[in-house]
Amino acid sequence: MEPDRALPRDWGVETDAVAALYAQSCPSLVGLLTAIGGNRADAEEVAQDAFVRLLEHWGKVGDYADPEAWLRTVAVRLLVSRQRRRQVAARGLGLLGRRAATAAPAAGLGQDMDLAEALARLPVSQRAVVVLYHLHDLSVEEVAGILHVPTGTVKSRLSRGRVALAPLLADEERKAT
Amino acid sequence: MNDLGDRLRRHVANLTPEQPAPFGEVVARRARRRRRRQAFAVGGTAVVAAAVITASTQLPGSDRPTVSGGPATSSPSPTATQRPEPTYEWSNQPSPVVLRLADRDVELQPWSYCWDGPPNREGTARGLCADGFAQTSDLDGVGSPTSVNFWFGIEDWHFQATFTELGVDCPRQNTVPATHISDQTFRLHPAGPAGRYRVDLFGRGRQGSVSASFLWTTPTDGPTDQPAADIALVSGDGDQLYAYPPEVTVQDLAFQPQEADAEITATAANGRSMTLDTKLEDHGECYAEGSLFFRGDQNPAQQAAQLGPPPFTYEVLLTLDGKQYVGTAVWPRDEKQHEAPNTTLTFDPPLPAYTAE
Repeated sequence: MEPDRALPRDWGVETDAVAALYAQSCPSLVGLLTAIGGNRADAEEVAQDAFVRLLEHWGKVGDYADPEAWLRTVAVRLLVSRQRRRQVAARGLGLLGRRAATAAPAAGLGQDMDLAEALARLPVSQRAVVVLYHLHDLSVEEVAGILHVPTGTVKSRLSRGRVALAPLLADEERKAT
Repeated sequence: MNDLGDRLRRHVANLTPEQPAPFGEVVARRARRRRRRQAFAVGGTAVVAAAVITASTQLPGSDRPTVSGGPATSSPSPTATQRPEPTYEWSNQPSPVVLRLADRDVELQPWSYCWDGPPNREGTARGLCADGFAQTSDLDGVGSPTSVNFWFGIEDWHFQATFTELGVDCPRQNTVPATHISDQTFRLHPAGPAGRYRVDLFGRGRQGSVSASFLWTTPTDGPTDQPAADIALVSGDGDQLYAYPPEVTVQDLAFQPQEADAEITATAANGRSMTLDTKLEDHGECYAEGSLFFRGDQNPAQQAAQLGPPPFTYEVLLTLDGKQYVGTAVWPRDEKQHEAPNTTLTFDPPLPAYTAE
């Protein structure tokens, strides 16, 4: 926040606290959402929506030991829901005989294209499970809590995701030896 | 450095921007959202009034019955209802789960499902997966019957129910199967100590799987989950064998050990074997008591997978507060269906079981 700039009318005390968390956590949240969703623009939009919800619930969430975990949960749910709506729309366009836009894998120069392409081939709900479980070291129960699905569903998505990514890891192992 | 976790960490780090968009955009977004809400509130007064009336009769979040027509009290037990069975015709939408209470039916729409519809004229079937968010405060309640009967629209399905106690931090969960009492009707008995529960039904059949939930104040104690443990190390698809960072998961122990250790020995069919170390992982603040999770490195797992041909015998030496338990499994014989590479361990002596007091 720049001190010499006029603040919006509804800028309150909670806004300062959320602004500080935003500066600290938003970039990594965008990275996580880009890995899951495959698209930077969507990730930034969803991250901002999640921070809007954080502003609205700061009275309660501000007392939590880990507001970032709350934020991550909300953001991942928003992203999965958004992607699913898009898939439904894409199916509708397909039925109408129009070509639906598809997201390119989330990687660029110097980045892990193999992993990005392998992730892009997984359905978004499977991708979310794999990334949350392996990246954030969350338990199956915690991932189930974030995505609001039964633990059996998480286990089976994790299993399918791992099987799909296993050839990629095996390739890397072969290259390394 | 070929562990999936490490690779994902690098991948996400590469995707992480150095600077976020200005925070002012979040504030502006909130202002737009408020304006939209205000506009909606003005235009939708009649709708809101109707919703308030509905809310006053439905008591969302309580475990009182949600459908009028009968007393909002506990029913002593399910009785053979005189009402006709619900109907459902196989379509692209999953069947509802219908709770057949003594005085009324409560229809639950699955909030998460994967569902294959019937084939069309060309012989092509449509499959769809959907995840919903079933907030506990939005669930229907059934009061406190001694058991609950429910109906599902397709034959040859199987259901289980996971009971999660309400008002408890990081509660233990108990899962029990539902019993068939006719082709499409099931009976569910309480699980865990008597109390107020969120009950998550999970059903599976040829058409897919569904999840639906309700609230139940159970009047009696039921069975508690027995300790269970899995190991994940290798799995395969045809001739190809894949190694995973070794994991040992233990659930529903009688207590939370102060000290715990797990050492894995993997032996291939040719008799060659090796030992793999694991580390007890911390899994955040909310992890049900009696749960442990160990993880090891990827490289030793790769070596283990190259010991020789399967089957692999796993032996897990689990030490809980100084006492040793030996778990064994054979891959692929004991691999869990739909949950590869997780493989079921059997312990001797048996792991200490939790019992409700």
